[in-house]
Amino acid sequence: MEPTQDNFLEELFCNCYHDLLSYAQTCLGNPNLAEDMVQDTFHEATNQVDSLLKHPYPDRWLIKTLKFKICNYTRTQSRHRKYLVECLDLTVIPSGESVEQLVMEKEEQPLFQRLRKVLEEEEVSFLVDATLKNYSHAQLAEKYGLTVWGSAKRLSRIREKLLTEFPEYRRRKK
Amino acid sequence: MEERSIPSKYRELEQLDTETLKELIRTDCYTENLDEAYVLCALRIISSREHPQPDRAQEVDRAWRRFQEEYCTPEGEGKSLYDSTPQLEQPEEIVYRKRRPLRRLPRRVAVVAAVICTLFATMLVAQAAGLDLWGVIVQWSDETFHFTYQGDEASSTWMEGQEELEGLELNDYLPTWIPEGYAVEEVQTYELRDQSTAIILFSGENLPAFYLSVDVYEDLEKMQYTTFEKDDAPVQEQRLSNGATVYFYTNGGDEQSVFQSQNVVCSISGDISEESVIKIYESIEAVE
Repeated sequence: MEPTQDNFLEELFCNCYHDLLSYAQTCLGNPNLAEDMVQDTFHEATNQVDSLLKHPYPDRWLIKTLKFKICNYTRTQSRHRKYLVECLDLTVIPSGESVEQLVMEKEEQPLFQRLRKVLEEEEVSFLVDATLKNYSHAQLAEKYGLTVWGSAKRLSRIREKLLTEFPEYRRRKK
Repeated sequence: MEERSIPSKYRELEQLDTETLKELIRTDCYTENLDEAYVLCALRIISSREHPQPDRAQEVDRAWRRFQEEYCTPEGEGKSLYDSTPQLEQPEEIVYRKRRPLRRLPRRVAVVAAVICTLFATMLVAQAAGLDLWGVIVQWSDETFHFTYQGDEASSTWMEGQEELEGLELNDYLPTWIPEGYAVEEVQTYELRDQSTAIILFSGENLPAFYLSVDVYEDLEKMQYTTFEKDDAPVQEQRLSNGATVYFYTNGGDEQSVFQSQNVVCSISGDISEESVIKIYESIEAVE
């Protein structure tokens, strides 16, 4: 990256980070996820620095991008959660401390056995953390010894495997 | 980091308490009613109240280091953490089809709605003669679309003292017709000081989902702060059988439509035909 672009991004980060974090925390109510999403928004800015340099209001571009990420995350997370609950044959969407307990109780069930055909134990745990506990990629990376990008890749791969094993729960692509 | 001042046109935000500002931001996140400049001003006001300047500077320094070390790495070049995951489909067995009742509107909003309905009926003749008693005009640019109130007086003044007309519910602004095969999947309602909003997700088996958003404003001045983001493609107008106008436009490539009647703004987004959109709007009883 050229020094002009570098300086521009650093200045943008210093001026807007706090506003964006405040926005994400207000909308998501989850500080870890909020920070992850704000960092990803600035990463998006890095990817598009050429056009952003010419943008009349880069701060508005950032807030709009963050808003899109939050809406997209909320919508897809809700769908992933329902999907996983069905695959695990859980009757309710578990929250907080009850997640591990509820999942362990299902270990002998046929649906769980099917799940274990395609996912390793750690992958099930990873999926539960990401989907039912709303862990950020930074949290997942720390817990499983990955980078944030490695975490995103692993989650994507696990969800693909799940879709392959449980095609009957597919309804439509949004 | 320097403190930035609030532009005079957004000064009214400073009168709102922090929780109301946050509620405004949360609602906007899922409805896209406000423009980004408005949201940024609200955030700056919250920030100035909640975080002392030195704490903020340290936090930003830490975050910048983290950004460089963990996110802005060659591994992530050209990628996004939150855009790249595949979209899963919802399992058929757990599609929620129950229509959930909407909460009643706050008394104040219900009164306003009732009074406006009554006034509207008596104003039809005058409007036909060319008088713009509502004083609402529609404006759009390459990026946004909004309604502007042009009246001389505060619209709320002609609604005072009419509490006996209370009785309308938000349900009055919901359509009585939706395309075949669709059902309500999810309803979210928000109540702000000057506005009530319902966002309804409709879906059907093997049918693309669409959203209907209904915003009931306390008065017409409040309504003009609503801005819809749009692409630079031209807005298309279509007349309803009751004489009202629907505006079709695109935003980020997505088809959108918006319809305003008195202090109510309805919008539909999603993969749905113009014909169906018009039928939905025409079936809203409160505007027939």
